[in-house]
Formats: sequence, structure tokens, C-alpha cells
Amino acid sequence: MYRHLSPVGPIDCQVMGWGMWQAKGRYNRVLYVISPLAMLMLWELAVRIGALDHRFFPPPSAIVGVLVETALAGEIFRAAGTSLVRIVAGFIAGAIPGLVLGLAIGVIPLLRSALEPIIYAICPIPKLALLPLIMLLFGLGETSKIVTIALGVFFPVLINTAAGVVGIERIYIDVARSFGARGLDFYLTVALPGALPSVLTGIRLGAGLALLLIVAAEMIAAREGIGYMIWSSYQTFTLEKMYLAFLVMSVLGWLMSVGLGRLEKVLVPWKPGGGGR
Amino acid sequence: MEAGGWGKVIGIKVNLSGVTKTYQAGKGFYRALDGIDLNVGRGEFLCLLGPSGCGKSTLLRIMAGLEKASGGRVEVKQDSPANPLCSVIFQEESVFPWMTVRQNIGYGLSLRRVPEAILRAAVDWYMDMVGLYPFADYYPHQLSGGMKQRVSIARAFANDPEILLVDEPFGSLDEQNRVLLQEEFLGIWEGSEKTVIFVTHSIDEALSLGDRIAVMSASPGRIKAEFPVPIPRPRKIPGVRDHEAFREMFQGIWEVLRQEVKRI
Ligand SMILES: Nc1ncnc2c1ncn2[C@@H]1O[C@H](COP(=O)(O)OP(=O)(O)OP(=O)(O)O)[C@@H](O)[C@H]1O
Ligand SMILES: [Mg+2]
Repeated sequence: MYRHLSPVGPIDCQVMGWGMWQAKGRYNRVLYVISPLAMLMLWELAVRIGALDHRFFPPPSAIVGVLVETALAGEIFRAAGTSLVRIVAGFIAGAIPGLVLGLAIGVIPLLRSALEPIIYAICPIPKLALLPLIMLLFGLGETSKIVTIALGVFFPVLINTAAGVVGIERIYIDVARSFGARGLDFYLTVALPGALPSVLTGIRLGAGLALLLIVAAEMIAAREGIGYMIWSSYQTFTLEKMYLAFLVMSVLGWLMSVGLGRLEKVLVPWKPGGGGR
Repeated sequence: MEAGGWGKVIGIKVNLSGVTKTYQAGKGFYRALDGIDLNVGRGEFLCLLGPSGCGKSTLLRIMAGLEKASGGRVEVKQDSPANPLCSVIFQEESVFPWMTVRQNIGYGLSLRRVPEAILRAAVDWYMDMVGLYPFADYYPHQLSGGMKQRVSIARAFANDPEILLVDEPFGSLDEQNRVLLQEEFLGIWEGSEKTVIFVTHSIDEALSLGDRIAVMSASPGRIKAEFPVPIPRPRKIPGVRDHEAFREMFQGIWEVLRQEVKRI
């Protein structure tokens, strides 16, 4: 009955198999490197011969120039760092309450009945829609950014954790009960580890949302960060910088994906195909 | 430690009288157990034999406290407050996939906050008994079905309960593994003085292992007949079949059981 708690499934580039990098075969690997390079060259060429408007699609060579320039000035690192700090803080502020409440909801049916309708009422509201309200409540400073991301991460973690607990096979709960696991012991030895794969799915979904939300929040009201960088380059029409911001987002997303993959190997070493010995 | 409790059952450990269990099934009710009367002696190895679906697992779950009886009385005497009353070896695969072999076997002890050194020694001992010492840090998905069942057995013994409730633990295993595990199980039990209630639908297994066999009727379950098994211990597993009593009793039990199996 509570199976519908589980999400449609994380179909998202954040979750996509970056492991393709490890594709078998020499030609595959060569292609993996060559094909993006070829695209960049094609792009460069298209701008040079005038097939692409250089005002909207600055050539890669120009972007690299700006990259070196902003990197030397430290600007790009500051922007990326600021956004990253906000994301991490928001992540922690959202994931931990989501995890704890999700476990409790999964274990205690009474709590589930009480909170499920409320969660389902709030969850579908795009967190972007709440941005103005969040700014009214928390001002224009760091807090509002962190709260926005926290909200975005909170719900997928909460829902996936609860679904994970509910989905734990009956037999493991019987084992725990027959061995007398109660209270915190039950949470730590069965509910949490049993739900962990699902929790990680929630975290992955949350990570994707966090990237989305940080850009939006920084575009609307910020003096720093990647979103601000995109917005200000729109206003000053310095598109090379905008593309640079895209590049940073791509790298950030990739880093998060790799980081979460590592986390998964550490936290769920017992899954077939996972880490472990 | 003196050798097991066979033949010198002192007092009653488990007393069931008129135990019934009714499940809700759709709009109606389904009677799974219909007045079970059964005594199990202290230190006795009782085999509960019955056709599939007769309520063996249900009865075991009631004794384990995992399920409430709908009627009747369930009395289990606790001898030492320091030990857990019972541990269950489940019919289905039940080792935690998120714990290593070592962690699984030590589960009961770690819940009781047994000091690390003692826990380690106990886990090592039982791991060795079931031949899993080299696999201490493996996760269940890296083990075969037989190895997982060994973990489950070791986990129950390591918890050091007064009663072992065992539910067809070897049902899903191939014959070689089954015989091997029966042997190991007896080996561990025969020094332990624990009371065992062992569910099976194999007459062969019941005769090989048990001090006494209680045969259940087809659903709804009742105790149809009881047979003491006069085969001396310690027993050698394939060897017990050559015992005269084994063959005679096999026939007698089969007569009772076949009527029940035909009723299903
Ligand atoms: N939770 C439940 N709800 C409804 N009916 C149940 C439930 N559990 C068991 N039953 C029914 O009770 C009867 C006895 O089940 P049980 O699992 O105790 O049988 P069993 O003797 O262990 O069978 P097997 O040898 O196949 O394991 C079965 O007919 C089963 O359908
Ligand atoms: Mg059963």
C-alpha cells in the first residue's frame, strides 16, 4: 500500500552510468575522449566560418581564454566555492532531518498515517515556487539559499527513506524481533541499513535538485556564486563567462555524482556488484 | 559441560494446551491451528512433523512470540534470566544481507551488549563449528545457500538461548549439504543441553535428529500422534538409518502421515 512512496526511479544524468568511462574495449575508450573533442572542434569551426553566431555561441578558444583569465583572478574558484558551500550546507540541513523523519515514518505506522497526507500535499510544490516566500522569511543572505536547497533535498530523502524502510523484507524484521532488538537498536541494525540503498536514491535525486535550486536562488538574489555569475554575464552580455559557468556546473555535477558513487560503495558494501571484499 | 540432555528429560520446558490460531483471510477466517496440545521436556529434541501448510511455522512463530495465539495457553519456562529464552532459525533465508558473516553470528550477543572479547570468542567458536571461519568478513551475497543456512544456525546457537526453534532449515538444500548440516547441527547441539523444537516434513530427518516426533494433522493443524525415538545418542547421521528402530518407525509414521497428506 505504501509502495507508491517510492519515486518513479531516478532517471537523470546525475544518476547516469558515469561508469561508462570504464567501457570495455580500446576503441570505446578512445571514442569516449575523441567525441567531445570533435564536438568542440566542430563548434569552433562553425563559429569561424560564421555558421554559428559568435555573440551567442562564443568559440571554445574564447571561452578557454576567459577561463584562464578568471582562474588567474580567482574569480571562478570563488564563485564555485561559494555555491559548493551553500550546496553542502543545504544538503546536510535537508538530508539529516529527512533521514531521521523518514526512518521514523517507515517504522511507526501511526506517524506514517499522520504525516503522509501532509507530505504529499507539500512535496509536489516545486521548491522554486517557494523561493520568494523563503526570501521573505529568511532574507536575502546565505540562510535563504541554504533553506532552499535543504527543502529540495529533504523531500526526496524523506520519501525514499520511508519507502526503503517499508520495503524491508518482513523476515528481517522478524529476525530482529526474535533477537529482541528494540528502539535505537532496531533502527541502527535493521531499519537504517535495510533502507540505505533507497536512502541513497533519495540523496541522488536531492543532489540533482540541489544543483537546480542553487542556480535559481543565486540568480534571483545573490552577490556571488555560479548562478550569480550566469545572471551577471547575461546583464553585461559577456557570454564567455556564462559558458564558463555552464562548464563549472557540469564539473560540479560530475563531482557530486562521483562522490555519491564513492559514498554508495562505502555505505552499501553488501550489495551484489557493490564494493566490499 | 556434560553431554546433552537426551534420555534424561527433567521437567517440562514448553507447555501448549488448546492452542488455536485463526487468520483473517479476505472476508472470512482461516483456521491454521486447531487445538494444539503439546509438552516439550527440558533438554529434549522434539521434531514437529507434518504436511505442508499444516501450521508448523505458525506454531513455531507463536512459541517464538512473533505471533499471538488466538486461543489456548502457551507456557514457556525460563530457567536462567541471564540467557535469552529462545532463538529462531527461520525457514526462509534470513541472514541480514548488510552484515558480514561475523556480524550476523554475533547479532544476538551484540544486542545484549556482551563484552567485545567474549563476543568475539563465541562468534569465532561457532563460526569454526559450521566451517565458516575463512569467510568471516564475507557478505551473504558472496555465500552459497548452504553457507547462509550455516550462518543462520551459528547465529542462533551463538545467542545461547534456552530453546532453539528451528523451522525446516535444510528444506532448500541439496542432499549432500542437508546431511552435512544435519550432522553439524547435531554436533553443536549434543553438547549444549538446549531444548530444540525442530520443524520438518521429512520423516527421515525427524528420525535422524529427534528424541521424539510429534506428527501434525493436515490443516487445520492438530497433534495427531507422538512417537518417542529410541535410537541412542550420540548419533551418526547417515548411520542412524541402519538402526532397526529407524526402519520400523519410518513405516509407522508414514502410515499416520499418508492419511494426512491425502487429505490436503
Ligand atoms: N499471515 C497469514 N495470514 C493468513 N494466512 C496465513 C498466514 N500465515 C500462514 N497462513 C496460513 O496458515 C496455514 C499454515 O501456514 P504455515 O506457514 O504455518 O504452514 P507450514 O506447516 O509451515 O507449511 P510449510 O511446511 O509449507 O512451511 C497456511 O494455510 C497458510 O496459508
Ligand atoms: Mg513453514
